[in-house]
Amino acid sequence: MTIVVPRHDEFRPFGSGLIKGLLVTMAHFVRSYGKRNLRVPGKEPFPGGRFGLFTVQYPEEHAPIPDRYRGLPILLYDDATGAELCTACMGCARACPIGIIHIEQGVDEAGKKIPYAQHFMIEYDSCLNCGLCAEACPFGSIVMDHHLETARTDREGFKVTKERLLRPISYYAQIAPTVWAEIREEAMKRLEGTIKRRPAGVGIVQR
Amino acid sequence: MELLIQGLNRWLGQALPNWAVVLIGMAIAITLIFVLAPLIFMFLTWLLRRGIARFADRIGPNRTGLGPFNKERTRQRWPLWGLLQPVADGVKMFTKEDIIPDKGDKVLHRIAPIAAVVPALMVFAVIPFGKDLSAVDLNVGVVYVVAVSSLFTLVLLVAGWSSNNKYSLLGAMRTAAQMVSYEVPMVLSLVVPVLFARSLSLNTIVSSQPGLRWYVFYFPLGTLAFLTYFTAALAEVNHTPFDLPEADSEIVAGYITEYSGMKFALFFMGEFINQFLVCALATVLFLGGWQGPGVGIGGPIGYLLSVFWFFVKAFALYFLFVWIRATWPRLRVDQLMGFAWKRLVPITLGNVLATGLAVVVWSLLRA
Amino acid sequence: MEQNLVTYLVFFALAGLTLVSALAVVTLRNLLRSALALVVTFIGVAGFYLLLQAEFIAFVQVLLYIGAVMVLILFAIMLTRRLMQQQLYQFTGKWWIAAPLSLLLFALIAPVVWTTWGARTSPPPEPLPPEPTAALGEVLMTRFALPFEIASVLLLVALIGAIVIAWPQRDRLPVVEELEQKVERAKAGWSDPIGVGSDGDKGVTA
Repeated sequence: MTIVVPRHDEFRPFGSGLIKGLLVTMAHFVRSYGKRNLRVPGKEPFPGGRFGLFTVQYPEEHAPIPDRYRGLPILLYDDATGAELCTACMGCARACPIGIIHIEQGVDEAGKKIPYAQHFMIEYDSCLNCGLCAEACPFGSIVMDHHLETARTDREGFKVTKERLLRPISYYAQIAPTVWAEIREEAMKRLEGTIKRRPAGVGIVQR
Repeated sequence: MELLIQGLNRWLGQALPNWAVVLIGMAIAITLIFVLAPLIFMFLTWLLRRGIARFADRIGPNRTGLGPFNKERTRQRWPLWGLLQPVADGVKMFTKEDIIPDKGDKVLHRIAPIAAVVPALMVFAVIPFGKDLSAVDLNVGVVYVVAVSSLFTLVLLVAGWSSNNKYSLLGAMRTAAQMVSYEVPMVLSLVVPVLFARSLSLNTIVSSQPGLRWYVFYFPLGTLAFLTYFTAALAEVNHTPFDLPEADSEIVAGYITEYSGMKFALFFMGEFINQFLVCALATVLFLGGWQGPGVGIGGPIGYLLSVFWFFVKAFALYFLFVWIRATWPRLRVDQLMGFAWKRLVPITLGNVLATGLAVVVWSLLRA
Repeated sequence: MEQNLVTYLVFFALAGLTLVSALAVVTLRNLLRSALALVVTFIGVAGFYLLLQAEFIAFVQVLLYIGAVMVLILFAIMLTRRLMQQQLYQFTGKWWIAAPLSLLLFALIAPVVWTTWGARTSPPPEPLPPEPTAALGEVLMTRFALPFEIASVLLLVALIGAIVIAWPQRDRLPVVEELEQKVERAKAGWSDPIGVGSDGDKGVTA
């Protein structure tokens, strides 16, 4: 096979390429003072094409986060009833590759185990953001958050317990609509079953 | 300078002897230069960063600026365009650890950064920043500028060698070879306006370009000289596309590899001031210096306007530097020397010959 | 009188600087530091020129000797040896031969310095022309045109000599000869231009 490399044999005066390059950058310089060219979720990316300011001024502005972004894991509860989706099945704790999810299953008065997590703790400082817990959860209870700014100055604060893990379903449906649409049906069906098997008042988030 | 001494004489002449007035005048001029140079350096770094950012569709540093320091107001969108960024950089540099290589030549390692700034500051003495506004009016100003700025080559060789680091030494060698080579076409290009003006004094050269009779418009000789000067000057101050000394992909940071903290900043100050001086010299020799509309007005307005025009031209040239830096890639080492000796030197030599001939013919025709 | 005093002070300061740094050139054990001391000496000499109101010569001294010659010397030093740890001997065993010889030289030079060459009889020196540099250029082009040109020719000879020494050797590597032959054949219309057919596919033939 013969590869034919095109040679630009047409006459090009000395330095014309340099001038051309200068004009290109100048066009960018001038048009960077025009409209900003930011990505808007759900719209065509970069409406202004290759020109305009692309900078997202971070602390004040945030770049749109894709639906399947894996932040840190959170737990969900039902908006209407306040019922937690988690049944303490230990699926996530087993799926976690570094074992940072700690669950203690609740018991009723008779000492019998009930589908309810008495204590639920995740060590956020060791989390890999791998998302295996969310994948393992059959109840759609543990999902990946989109919150980025998790830095803090005390180490103890990274041991996050249930009170700080719980979010309403509506929150997750808002930040990751496509993901929630996939797991919604299964999760709601299982939630109904869970509520039946729990003694009254257990696993209801107090607000 | 003479203006200053005259003014001082009128004010203090009764109270102090003559030499004291001269000394005070010198002190004022030196202080002005010492204040002006860092200010220019700061402004240039800001201009470079903001300019390059805009060329690359970014905003650039905009977080530091004057303003009330409460939470709400610092979150305003453009706090003075980040004009205080150089101050923040300076504070950062001062807090950095100062590292001196254990196996290096410690004395020379300390001296080099200081010696890098001194020649740059010395050149300021003869630059006419405005009408009658140069610290010294040397009758060999052009030679002085070239001679003093050539000291920088020596300094960076010392810096590279005293670090006792292969990258430093290689970077210094490259830089020195480049600067020595490009000094030849640069000086030869400077000869052309000197021939036009028939003087080596920077003030005379400026005052012989009144109105729009700038030497860059003396087509084709002056224009060609300006272009060759600009090209050689880019290489002389290690600017893109001749920034091989700072080719970090090949030799880390060149001769400043082993420098940290304020010493590093001093080298940068030397380089930036040299870049400004190259622009200032081009302004003086080719773009009419402080000449511009309104400089003929008497009194302080004329002086202020002349300073204004000088800085407008110099910074416009520096903006060209920024533009080039944002656009062009770097030359290869083997292309670098060939370009200087095989292209620029013959062109500039021919230009000098042609200019000499033209000046002689012109004066014969007029006589 | 004031002017004279200042001139004297500056002269002695410069003389001290020049002499001390010149002494450092020959006594320092580090070759590079010796070279840098030589730079200081040159600066002192440039200062003398300034003191004599020969500004042009002074700055040319800085430009040529420090900006070019010293840089070349430093280059040569840096490229030849590792000098950082190496302490050179400034005194060899033959110093007893050198010492009387230099004393003899000094004895020859000293009377020359002390002699006032007809200073009492000759008229006071002429005042400087208004444009000393221009006058210098004119003299170089008229009265001293021949010495000037001879110096130029000498430099040209040195330049050509350097090129001749640095010229690549005539006999080339056999690989290069082989490749050149291949290129020749290719130009003559050979069907297999690059290589021997094995990686001819990758050859660019357009």
